[in-house]
Amino acid sequence: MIHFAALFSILLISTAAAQTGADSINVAVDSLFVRASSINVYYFELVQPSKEALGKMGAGAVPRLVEKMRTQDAREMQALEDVFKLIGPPAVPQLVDVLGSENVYRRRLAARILGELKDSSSVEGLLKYTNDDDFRMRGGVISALGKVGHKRAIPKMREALRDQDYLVRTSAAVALSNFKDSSNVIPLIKALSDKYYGVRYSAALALSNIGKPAVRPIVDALKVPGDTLSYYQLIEIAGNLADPRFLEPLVKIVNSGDPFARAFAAEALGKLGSEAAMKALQDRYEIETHPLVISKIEAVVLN
Amino acid sequence: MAGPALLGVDCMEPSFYNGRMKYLITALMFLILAPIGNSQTVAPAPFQALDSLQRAIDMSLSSLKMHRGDLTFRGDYLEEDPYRLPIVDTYMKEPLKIIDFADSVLTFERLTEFKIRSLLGNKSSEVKRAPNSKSAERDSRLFERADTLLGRDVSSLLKGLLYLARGVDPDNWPGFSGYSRFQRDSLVEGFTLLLEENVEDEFKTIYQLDSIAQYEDRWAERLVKLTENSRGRGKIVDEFISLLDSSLARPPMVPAKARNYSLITDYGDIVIGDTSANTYQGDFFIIIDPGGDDTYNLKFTGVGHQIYIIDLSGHDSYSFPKGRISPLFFGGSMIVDFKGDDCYTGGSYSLGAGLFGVSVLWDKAGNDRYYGDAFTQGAGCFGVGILRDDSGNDSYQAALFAQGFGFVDGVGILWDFAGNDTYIAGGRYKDILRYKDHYLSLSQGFAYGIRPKMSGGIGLLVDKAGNDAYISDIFGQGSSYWYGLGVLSDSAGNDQYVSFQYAQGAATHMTVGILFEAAGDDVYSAKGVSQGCGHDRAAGLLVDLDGNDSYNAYDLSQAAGSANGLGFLADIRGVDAYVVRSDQNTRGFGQPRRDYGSIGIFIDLSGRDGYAGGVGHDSTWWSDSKWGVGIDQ
Repeated sequence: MIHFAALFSILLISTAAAQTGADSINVAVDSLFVRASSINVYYFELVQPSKEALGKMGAGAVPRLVEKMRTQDAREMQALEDVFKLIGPPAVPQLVDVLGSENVYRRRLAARILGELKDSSSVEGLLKYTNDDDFRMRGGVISALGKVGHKRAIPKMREALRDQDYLVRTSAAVALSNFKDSSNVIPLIKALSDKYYGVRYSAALALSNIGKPAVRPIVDALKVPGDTLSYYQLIEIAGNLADPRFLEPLVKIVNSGDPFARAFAAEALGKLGSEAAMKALQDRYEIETHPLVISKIEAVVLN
Repeated sequence: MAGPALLGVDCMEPSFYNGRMKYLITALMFLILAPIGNSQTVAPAPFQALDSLQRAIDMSLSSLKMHRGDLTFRGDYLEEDPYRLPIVDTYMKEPLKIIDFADSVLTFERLTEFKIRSLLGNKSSEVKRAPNSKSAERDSRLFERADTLLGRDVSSLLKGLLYLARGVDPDNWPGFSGYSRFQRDSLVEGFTLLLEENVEDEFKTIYQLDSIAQYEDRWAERLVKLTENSRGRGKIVDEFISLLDSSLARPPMVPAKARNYSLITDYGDIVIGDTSANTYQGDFFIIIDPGGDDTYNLKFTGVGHQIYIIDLSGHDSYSFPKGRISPLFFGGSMIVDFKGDDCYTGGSYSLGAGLFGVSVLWDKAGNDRYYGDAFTQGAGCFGVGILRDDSGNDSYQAALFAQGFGFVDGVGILWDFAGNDTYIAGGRYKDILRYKDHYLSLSQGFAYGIRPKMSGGIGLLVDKAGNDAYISDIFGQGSSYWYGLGVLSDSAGNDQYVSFQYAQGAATHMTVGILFEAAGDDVYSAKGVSQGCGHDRAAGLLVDLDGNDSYNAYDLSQAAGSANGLGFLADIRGVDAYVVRSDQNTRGFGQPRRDYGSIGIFIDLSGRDGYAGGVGHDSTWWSDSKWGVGIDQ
């Protein structure tokens, strides 16, 4: 494959060399890009070598590729993302510039690609657009900042957790899951009551990722859950954190009247894995009748 | 364009395969057995089945730590285009409500119940413009002398059709008056380009294909603006329905002295036939034929034509022009055939295909055969196409965009009331993006849009009775692509569904599709992305209310959510069999994408069901994937 890519590069770049300057590079980029963005089954084998050839062209190919970011075609967007990932940091400055483009497709794609590049030099540029009027851009930028993983962006992410648009809030919760920052715990617990599951699930993951600093607040929250669905998420987080302090509340829950809570508690106790946790599960299994709870307990036992 | 490769069309010898005999025997059996059946277990009415489904949905959501509000998709993931139909946004927002819609269409008896005008939404140029008084006066004078000759029925029908024609006339439609000749030509060329496929594509180079794609993209860009004035064109369907409900509710009485009458009008020739076997060759405006085995060999040049045929009886053969450009573009047609085993052969854009206009084909009796290529047999684009067949064992064959197909700002309906029917779509245009050996169908209750520029329409295939067979390949059977609504609803009979991919309640890319089966022992077979599968913020649903059913798939099927989509499969009653190959992405499967989940909900509410391959067992619950759940009760 690498050999094929090198052959492509040599062939096309040498063809381009016969012409002069930017035009010749553009011709090579255009030709390779047609191949790189094809999803035609007859030309499948050309795709990856062409992407690699474009990647090898490096910074020289970036201006022409940036022009192509106007596309609204999903396959071309994906190809651009793949190629920019191969080019890497040399593409970052121009991509940051594109964030300010008037073309909405172009700027959103720039945010998406910058997230994939995970280069900290893009953080300042991305931060300029966290309050963008376009919720798709706000979400994309927050998501990119999360992937880059620079602490400087955390306050903006927490702010975005209160955004009026649930897709932005989802991006914020996902982004925060990349940080083990204890100051995020309380906002994330609040986010467990969000009306959209993307936020709730992502906040739960973020809290699980935070680890020990989240244990005490989660134990407290389990005592006075805000609503049923956040309660279920708290039970799951308790399992993920696998701290012995959760044993007592989880044993209570696995014997409670809510079959769904029992099921999640069974799963969580399985993750705790202690002798006491397993004993609680065995005791419950003897009397349990709900098929979901039974399946959860059996899954723990079988694993 | 040649006919579909699958077809061996021979309209000269209509098939008599004991359909009537079967019907009589069935009716007799029903009369004998009805009292016994009534004294035994009464099957629950559909609403009861749906009530129990609602409860199961709530349970499944609780087990996913979700509520109904989580099952929602938006109309603004990208900038909304002007052609989004409100009903699409409604069902995107609350996709489970599509179940009620799919159920309700099975109870419809009259075209008015579809409320097509409201399906097309409010965003439109006003459509109805009565013919001006001069035209009305002229029309009235046209039949003045012939009233006595033609009789009340025919005279009234002709006047009604002429009135209709004036309303359909693109020159009378306010939306089109703003177009220059060049712009009209552009619309014709542009949409023909978007709706045509080429069997030679598989032999083109990668650069040729890219060039074609770029060319089509530029056209689409232009058409987005150009079609602004065409929105709501399909609403003229109300005039058609009104005429069908009045003058054509029963066969018109054609007096013997009216036979062989003819008249020249602005729109072409009006001809009244006789009871012998007539051949109508060429360009006509209205044909009323009282009987005989007739042959209609219609030919037109240019666009904007209208053709209205009322055939009262006989085994008839209809043939429509097969050119690249539809002569009915901007125009309209209505065919009402009251009796006989008929054969309809069209190329593309025929047999109930409304393209910037309205087209209705209503066959009221007989075992009929329908053959077409692309955009046919109930297809609509900036218009409405309806193919209704009231009885008989019918055969529908087409290649692409057919059998209840809705394109931009369009509604396509194929509505079959009775009989053991066969629906075949595909076999001509290869799906060269994905396979070297499979064909595009995009048919059988399928909606389609131009991603991301123009939202799709509404495609409905409704079959009310009979043991039916549905065969498609890639994209079909209650599915959709890009902000559309694809519905296949089948009421009764032991039906078979065969497809390969993106079918049987599948939705890909921000859209909604449902396959709804009310009764019968049904068989579903597909390879993947099927049987309740939503991909990319889309909802795909397969709901079967009753019967001992068999489901067979390979992967990403049977309630599979992909790329933040919703896959939903619910089977309410019966002893069912579920077979899958993959245990990784089937039967209540939700995968993560964009860092959060897709949702898969699998529900079987009763019966001792069998499971082979994959997850799930009878009388258990399972949630092997984080965002997926299976419930068998």
